[in-house]
Amino acid sequence: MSLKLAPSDYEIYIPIAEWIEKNIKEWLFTQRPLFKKLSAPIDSVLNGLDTLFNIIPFPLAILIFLYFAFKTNGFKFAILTLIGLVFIDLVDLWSESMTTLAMIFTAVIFCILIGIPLGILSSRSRTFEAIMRPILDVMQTIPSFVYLIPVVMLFGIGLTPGVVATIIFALPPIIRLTNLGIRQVGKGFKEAGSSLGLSKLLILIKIEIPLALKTIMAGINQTLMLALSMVVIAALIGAGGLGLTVYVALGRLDIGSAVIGGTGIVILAIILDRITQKLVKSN
Amino acid sequence: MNKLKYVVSILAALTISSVVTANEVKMAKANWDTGYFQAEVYKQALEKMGYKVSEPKAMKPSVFYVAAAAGDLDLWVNGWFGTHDTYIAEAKGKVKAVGNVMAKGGLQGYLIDKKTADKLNIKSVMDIKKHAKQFDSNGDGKADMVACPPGWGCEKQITKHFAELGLGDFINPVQADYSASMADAIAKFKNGKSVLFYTWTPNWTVGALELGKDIVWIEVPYSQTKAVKVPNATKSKINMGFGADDIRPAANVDFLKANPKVAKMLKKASIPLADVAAQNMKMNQGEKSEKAIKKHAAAWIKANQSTFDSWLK
Repeated sequence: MSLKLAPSDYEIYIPIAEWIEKNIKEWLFTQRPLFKKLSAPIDSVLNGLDTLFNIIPFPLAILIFLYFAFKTNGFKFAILTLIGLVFIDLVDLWSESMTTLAMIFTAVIFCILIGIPLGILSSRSRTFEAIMRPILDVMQTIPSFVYLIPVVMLFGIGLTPGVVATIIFALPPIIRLTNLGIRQVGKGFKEAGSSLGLSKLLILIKIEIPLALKTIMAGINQTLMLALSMVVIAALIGAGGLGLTVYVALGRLDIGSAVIGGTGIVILAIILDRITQKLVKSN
Repeated sequence: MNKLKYVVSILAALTISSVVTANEVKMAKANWDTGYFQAEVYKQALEKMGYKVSEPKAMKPSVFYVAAAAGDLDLWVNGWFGTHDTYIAEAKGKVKAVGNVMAKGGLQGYLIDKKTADKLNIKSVMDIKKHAKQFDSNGDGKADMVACPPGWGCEKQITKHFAELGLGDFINPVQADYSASMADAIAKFKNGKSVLFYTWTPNWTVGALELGKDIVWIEVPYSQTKAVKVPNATKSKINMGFGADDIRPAANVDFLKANPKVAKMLKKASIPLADVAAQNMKMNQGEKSEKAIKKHAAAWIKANQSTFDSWLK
């Protein structure tokens, strides 16, 4: 016989789940028109990039990739990039890869637009930082499955909601590292700036951001990688691309397609990671 | 050193005793929560017979039949036959269906919201051809339909419908997680938009959107299935495109051979469809935690004690 020591042994229970189900859920359903409007900018950037990436002829796309690969990592890496991309096309996943790329780029663009200003604000104000910190902790630790369904209720299903979920997931590092980078800029530099009569805004733009750029770029790199890791999960809410290939293959236990789709994601990840990492160093 | 010896011998004794009492059933359950109740009732029956039953893990059919064929799992009571016939075939004689939880208990088909059905006089999935735009939300000119998730038996059947009836010309089956797609459909419905979706009963979907009032079954004129009388459809007799399924336990064949008592119980047991529907309704009203379902199962057993006991004889 086990001892009855926990409150729940005595039928004491707080019906939070029921309350959320009753009140929040219905509210979520009615808020859709508003949130559809909010996601309109994401929608247009995403559709633009998706169409653009899918109409760029294959050789031109390869050339663009090769240019960046060569410039940042040299000849050897450019050859590897070439092999990887040709492989993606040979297993007939080019169009899926371009859709995935459009999703990731859109997510990263919006993460930068939202994240860098928030990071700067965090570096200016201790109170703001103290408020942001627990929010970022939650964003980084909460399993993404938890917010997938609310995202669907508010934004529907498809690519755009997939990007919204990706942004939630990938946003924290860029805020944290922008904040950190600016805070790490030595006092001396700022004092030099103000002694030259620069305004606070000019000190930020001309001194602090350039000196923090390396850290900020590391944040962008991390955000990019997190966005890539959301690709398969976003497929659960109807985002297409390589994630869908993997998700469908997993559902059908079609190991072949799963491996190919997964390999495609890895190839994209390596190429994007190396290029953005070296962009940091060349800067 | 002596203490260490004690510890080791106690650990050894524990391991051995757990091996000796390995009269264990490795049970699974379906990852649609309307099947949890029957899984719990059967679990409690097995426990009453003296078996140790691991907490059933929720999974999709494609995974269950592979794991059961390999012997990693012994049984589940969430088989849908004929839909799952293809999985039994793929298991090559290592898994078989035994007994009946609910004969003819599973209905499947395509539904649309009643308002649109009445307004545009849509009776059959073929009628959607003229009104595809009404159901289009991504702007590709085709109707969007919440289809069956990849890896469920119904996906193969829907693929056959699409091939035979040419549905792909005007319907775009949404490939996403089923709950997510349905959440989207419900949100659309609540905002006054038309919806088209696949579902099965018993299921929570027909609780969230009420059959007959909010939504109706439409005809799928597929050549391999016949028209039957169905309540809450666009006509009194429609071809649903799916046969009514028997919900049956499916088990590893070697396990059944080694445990004839379990095989006997599975052959005898069954649960009335109305009782499952009543329990599903309770889940719909919020009583859907593991604890609540366990209580529902215990209450059902208590109310049907003599039937339950007769399974175990």
